Amino acid sequence: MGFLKGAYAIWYRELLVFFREKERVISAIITPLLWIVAFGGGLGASISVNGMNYQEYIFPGIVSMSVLFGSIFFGLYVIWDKKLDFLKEVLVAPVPRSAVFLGKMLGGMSDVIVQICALLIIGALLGFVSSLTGALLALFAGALLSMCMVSLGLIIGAKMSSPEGFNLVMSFVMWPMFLTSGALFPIENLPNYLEVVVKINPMTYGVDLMRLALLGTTNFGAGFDLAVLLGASIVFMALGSKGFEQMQLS
Amino acid sequence: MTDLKLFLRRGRALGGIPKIPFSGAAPMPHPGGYNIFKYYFVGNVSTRLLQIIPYMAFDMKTKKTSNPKPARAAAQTAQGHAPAAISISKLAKHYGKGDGMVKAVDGISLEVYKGEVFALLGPNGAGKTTTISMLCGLVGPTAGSATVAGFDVSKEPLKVRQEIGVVFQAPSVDDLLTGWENMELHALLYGMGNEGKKERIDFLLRLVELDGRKDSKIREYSGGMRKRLELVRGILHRPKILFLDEPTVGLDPQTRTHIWEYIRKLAKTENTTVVFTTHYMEEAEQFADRIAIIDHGRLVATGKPHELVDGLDGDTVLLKVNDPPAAMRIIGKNKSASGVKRLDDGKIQFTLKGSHSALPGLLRSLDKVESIEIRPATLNDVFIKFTGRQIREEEGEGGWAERAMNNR
Ligand SMILES: Nc1ncnc2c1ncn2[C@@H]1O[C@H](COP(=O)(O)OP(=O)(O)O)[C@@H](O)[C@H]1O
Ligand SMILES: [Mg+2]
Repeated sequence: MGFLKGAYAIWYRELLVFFREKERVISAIITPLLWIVAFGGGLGASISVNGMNYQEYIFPGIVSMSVLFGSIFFGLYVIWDKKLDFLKEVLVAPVPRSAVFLGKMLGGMSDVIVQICALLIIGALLGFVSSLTGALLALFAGALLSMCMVSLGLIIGAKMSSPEGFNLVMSFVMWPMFLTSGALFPIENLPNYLEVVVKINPMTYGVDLMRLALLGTTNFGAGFDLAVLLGASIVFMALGSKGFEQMQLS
Repeated sequence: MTDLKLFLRRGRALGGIPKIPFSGAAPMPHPGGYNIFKYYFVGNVSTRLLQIIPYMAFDMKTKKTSNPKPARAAAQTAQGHAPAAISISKLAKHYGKGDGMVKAVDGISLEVYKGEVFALLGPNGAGKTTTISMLCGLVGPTAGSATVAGFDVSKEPLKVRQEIGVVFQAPSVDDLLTGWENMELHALLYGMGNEGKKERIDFLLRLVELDGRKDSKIREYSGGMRKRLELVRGILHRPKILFLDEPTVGLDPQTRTHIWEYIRKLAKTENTTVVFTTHYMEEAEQFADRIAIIDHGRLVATGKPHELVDGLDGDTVLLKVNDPPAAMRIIGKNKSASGVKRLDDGKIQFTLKGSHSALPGLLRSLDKVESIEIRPATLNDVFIKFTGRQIREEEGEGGWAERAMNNR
């Protein structure tokens, strides 16, 4: 009981903070829009993929990208909690660390789901979303991917002690995951030696599932995508809970 | 009639030592609570002394407690103190390894009794925060054990946390949320039911005069307001034990006084055991029932403030006399006096144990005394006696309000 109440309290706090930090909400929607319009539009003028308009092709990839970046950044935000010492108030409360982790994860997922909704609505207006079923499936795929990625972000955030590590995480985690996921181009186009990286990257399966939901094409099949994403989420959640238990405050 | 010792101590705690010359009967306390440290005896000392002596004798008979704080209600056991709320045994925390190892806490053992206000006094870096962190289960001890509210901190940290409230040295309110939201969040975290919750939050916010600002974001609060909010938040769930880490560091003197009023009010209305840390001697002396002085992670001394001071060789007395060599001979023979020396300005300085009762007799045996100055022993002297150093007063690690303002 205390576990659920505790998790709920943390989740509630994350929601309050999210809606209060308007800059965060706005930038989370503007950045992917720029990608679609500028990058997709610019490149799309000269390229088509599998006979498809390039902008249309990358839309699921861009939604996945904003899930990836939003989720991992959310996890890294724990550093700010540590810096502000607000985390102490939470950690000294009679709430198990695993509940704190769960609350944080749900909070991060909620933020990201709000972003996905906004992007899907904009996508629908631009003509990239053809059906409501497609949109709902995309929302589900995004939620699953964000469960996986928020957990990963929280694992890293719990370990990191200062924001200086941000760039390292960007260069060694976020960009590689994004670029080898097939979000911007078909993974067949990547050099062979990257195949292992592509295959072990959970983001690959998130993009695949998203593309299946919105465009009806898939490389691995829905069942496999779901299994990998769920499996990765469970592993990351277990590691994240552990990381929270071991988290030291300075 | 006022106990001389009592009001000497009070004056010391307030810091200022106004020099009020007096000639007449018994010294009167200054209306503001400040009082007389210097007695000037001009002319025939013996006649004046006769007027002081009845006053002193009266004090000795009444033997009033010299602790200015009213005794707190606490269930007393046969040993003369309440049962332990906290017991710490050989608690230690080491950071780092090898040559760089820091013994932040180096084997502390002590007990805090139910219902008392207990101070951990020590300079910055003494290990106070680390001790508190271990007691609330935020930091695992390297060695030793501690029982808080009946539960072992290492084995049952969640049960310990349910029973305690903690106000940290650094701000831990969420500055994007409002005062009210911070309180509500706390209630949720401590599993409080909805019944009476709103009333209690309202009551506590009123107590610290924040009810008018409860819907403002913490960002818009001043350092003092944040601290007040943290204080009532710490007590919202009715903890049995309240930990306050440097509750007044970095606050201006006026806010500091207020905060202490609130703490005492809270402790009294909720019958809470309070453990606070401080590096201000006056704060420990004025507000604690008992004090543990720590330095370099070790316990230097424990006791009631006046006991600690009484354990010293006594107060410092400065005399100006007609015939210093003769006076020094006489003082040297007095059993209560020690460390007799002559200062550059011709005055005689010595330490006198139980000065309030020993001084009249000593003065009677001297011939002509022109002026007397008493410097009562303080906790600082206790600290110097045990460590050979002064408690540094500067705030090396930055005050609370300062940090509160620097964030974000
Ligand atoms: N997380 C930590 N890592 C390394 N050293 C620490 C850590 N926390 C405290 N210390 C060291 O332990 C000592 C005691 O610190 P602290 O308990 O904060 O003292 P106080 O609260 O009395 O000022 C200091 O020398 C401090 O530098
Ligand atoms: Mg400290």
